Amino acid sequence: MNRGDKVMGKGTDKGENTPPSFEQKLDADHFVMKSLLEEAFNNCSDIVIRDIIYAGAISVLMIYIDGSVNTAEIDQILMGEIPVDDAISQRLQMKLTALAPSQIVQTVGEVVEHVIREKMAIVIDETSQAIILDVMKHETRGIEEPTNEIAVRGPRDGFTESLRINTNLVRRRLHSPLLKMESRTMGDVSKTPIVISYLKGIARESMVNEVRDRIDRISIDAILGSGYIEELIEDRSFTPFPQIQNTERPDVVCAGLLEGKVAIFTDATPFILLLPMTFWSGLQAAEDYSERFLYMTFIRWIRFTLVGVSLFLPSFYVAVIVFSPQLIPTNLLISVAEAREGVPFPTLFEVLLMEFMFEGLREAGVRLPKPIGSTVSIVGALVIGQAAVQAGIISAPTVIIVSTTGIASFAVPRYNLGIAFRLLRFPLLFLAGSLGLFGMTAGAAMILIHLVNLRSFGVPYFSPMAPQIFENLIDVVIRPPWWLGRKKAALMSNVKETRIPSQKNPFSRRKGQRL
Amino acid sequence: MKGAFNISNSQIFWLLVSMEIGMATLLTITMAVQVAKQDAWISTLLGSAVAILLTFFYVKLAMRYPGKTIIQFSQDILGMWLGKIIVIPYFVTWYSVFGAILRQVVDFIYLSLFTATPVWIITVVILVVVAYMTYVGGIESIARCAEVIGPIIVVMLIIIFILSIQDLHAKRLLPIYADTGWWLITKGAIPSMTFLSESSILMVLLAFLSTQEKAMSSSLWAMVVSMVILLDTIMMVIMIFGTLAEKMWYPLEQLVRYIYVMEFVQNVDSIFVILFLLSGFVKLAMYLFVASYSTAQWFGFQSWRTVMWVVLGIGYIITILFKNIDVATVEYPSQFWIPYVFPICFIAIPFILLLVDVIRRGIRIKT
Repeated sequence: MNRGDKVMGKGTDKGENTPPSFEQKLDADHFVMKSLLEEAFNNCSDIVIRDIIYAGAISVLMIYIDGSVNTAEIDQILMGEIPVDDAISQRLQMKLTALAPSQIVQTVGEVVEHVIREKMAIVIDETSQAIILDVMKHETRGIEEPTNEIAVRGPRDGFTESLRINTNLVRRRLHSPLLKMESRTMGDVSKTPIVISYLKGIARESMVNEVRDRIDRISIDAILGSGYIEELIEDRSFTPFPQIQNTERPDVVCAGLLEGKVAIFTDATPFILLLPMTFWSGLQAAEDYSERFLYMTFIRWIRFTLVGVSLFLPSFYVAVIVFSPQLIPTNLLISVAEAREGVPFPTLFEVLLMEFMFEGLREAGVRLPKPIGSTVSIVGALVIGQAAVQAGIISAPTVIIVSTTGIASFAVPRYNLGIAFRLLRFPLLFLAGSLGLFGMTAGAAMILIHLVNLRSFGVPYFSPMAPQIFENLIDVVIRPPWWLGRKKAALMSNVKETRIPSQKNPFSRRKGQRL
Repeated sequence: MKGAFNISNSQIFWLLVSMEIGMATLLTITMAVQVAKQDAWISTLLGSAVAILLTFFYVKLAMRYPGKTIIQFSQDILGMWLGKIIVIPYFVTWYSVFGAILRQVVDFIYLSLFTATPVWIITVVILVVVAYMTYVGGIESIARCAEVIGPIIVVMLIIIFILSIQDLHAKRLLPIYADTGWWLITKGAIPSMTFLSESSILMVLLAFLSTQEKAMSSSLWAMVVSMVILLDTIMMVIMIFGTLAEKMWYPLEQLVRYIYVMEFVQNVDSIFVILFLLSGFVKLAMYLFVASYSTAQWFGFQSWRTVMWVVLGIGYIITILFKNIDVATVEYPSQFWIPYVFPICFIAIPFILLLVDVIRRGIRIKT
């Protein structure tokens, strides 16, 4: 924020790039007008101020950012032949406003404001007003499959960097006037457009108000990604757990909206924020609802197990090896002891070393340019997997434990929730290394206490497990089939009905059956 | 301070279950078997039944003053001074029992998991967890933790029971009644009765209930579930160890140690210790909260969180004051809990309050 103030302040101090004051009226005189605008956009080489004499009679100024507006159609109008008479400027104005959504502004400040938001301003001589045309034309990436959230079965389109395309992708799925899209602009310098979206009547009004409040309270120089907003509006910062979900998938956003959640679109980022988020929604993938329910229930259970593994396995291993080896069956204990023979490090240090290496490899793999990425994995596999064990520096069981944990931590469908587990592994490791199973339990209890007291926009983070809401708990424990008439989350939505009216479910014999 | 917390009926249920099961299954069995031998299960059945009956009256009394703790409604019933004086025994109970349970948990952890670690480290770690659970969200936080921990404890106990089915010898329950007689059986009922009557804490907890209607059913169901589990534990212990159980510190732990399945599941008593520890966290946090909240109410302080640190300190001192495991685990229950706490706090005071209230309301209706 400071940086932005400085940049803005510098301009005003030197007085060389001073934007004309917002109230200054547009001048009827063509040349005064032109010099005013040129002064305003001094040293902005990407802003074009075209001076045209229309039909050989009146001067017209076109002001726009080069490359971000579509000028072809306007050019066509301006080049066109037209009989010259008194009403020529009115007729030109009518022609232009028919072309695109438009508005009329009176002050220099407004012109500047609109031009920097990628609109075209046209000033016709002697009218003292400017026509603002919304003929934005963006170079955008095409709609591609989201790279971070992949589904075997499900739609293949993902969000892009363009706000409009993103809102279209959602609107295309929910053709309802109830789907509201409130727009805001944020950032003193960046002026980033954002959109708050929700389903009226399904999302709690109090929740939507809270979101509006928190967003309006933000004062920052620039918003360069949805992560900025996430951090500025979340309930608590000192926690590893994400309280706002982000997604690249329009179907996930729509599913969230239908449950009464609120979505925040930010321009220039393909990650859409979805809130409130609960712990359990972080463990559900987009695909859960498009495959067979029995199988997906099974997958959910695998996921729960893997979450436990990713959090507890390394510390459990250390605690058992160091403090309670009696827990290991004799045969297994012998082979573990054999493998650990000659390893110079204590178990805790060994596991910490490997975890550190694993995290390092992961980070390097993500950051490196693609061609080098494969090198990292080969070196990592060789160094960690083979050489370290053969050299007797690290024992094979440790490698197995750490790699299992690594795989498990990637089985969490939400990447940012997986990060939380990876982070919390380390304090647990230290507790297990110093106090064994007792320390681990104490650590786990601390995490549990933290989780049950966390809130995301007023919704308890650990619900519907604690506080227990039975009819929603069903959707956590299993993936209920649709005909069961899943209830909306009681704490998020103010709609009490089931998603499928009970009389309408496909099994007429089950009429009236509810959870 | 009023209306600061909201807990639900299912939370009351899980709070009671996770609080009752831990201590009762661990400590009452030895005492019951020492007196009633192989008929200890009948004693437990008897004792639990009495405890459930008492719980019924505790809930009845608390429901007469919805939203008020015993500290408040005792003053409504008996007037300010008498009402304040009559609840003093509860403070003695809560402060001392917090220290005693802390010591019992620490002793148990120390005996089963550690040899060289200093005891004070274990104590401090437990206190940190308990203080965090209580401080951060009061009874709401404790109740939510209980909602997660309670089911885990119950499920794990069921697994333990299933795994030890193969070792059961039903004939160890015989002969029924012949060896002991009604007097010893009744005497053996005292430990389970006094331990399960800890549900008297409901007289504070029910004040935070958001919907009052189902308070009775969820409290009684919790007691029934606790009774069934306790009964099952004691029967299993007798069917596996017979009367040998009277010489064990923690028969349930021995039972778990006895489990041996497919040469793979063995020596799982450390896992059981974890279960017990989780139950201990909930129970300690609950007593810590009740003690500090009630103290704040009694003195008219605004912030119970400040009082909490005092209670923590007192609890720690009491823990150190116990000379050895014998004092905390055997003498405290048998020489303080059973002869004083149970008759005074769990029977006399609640019934005096209930009686006076019934009479007063009766007079008020007549006049």
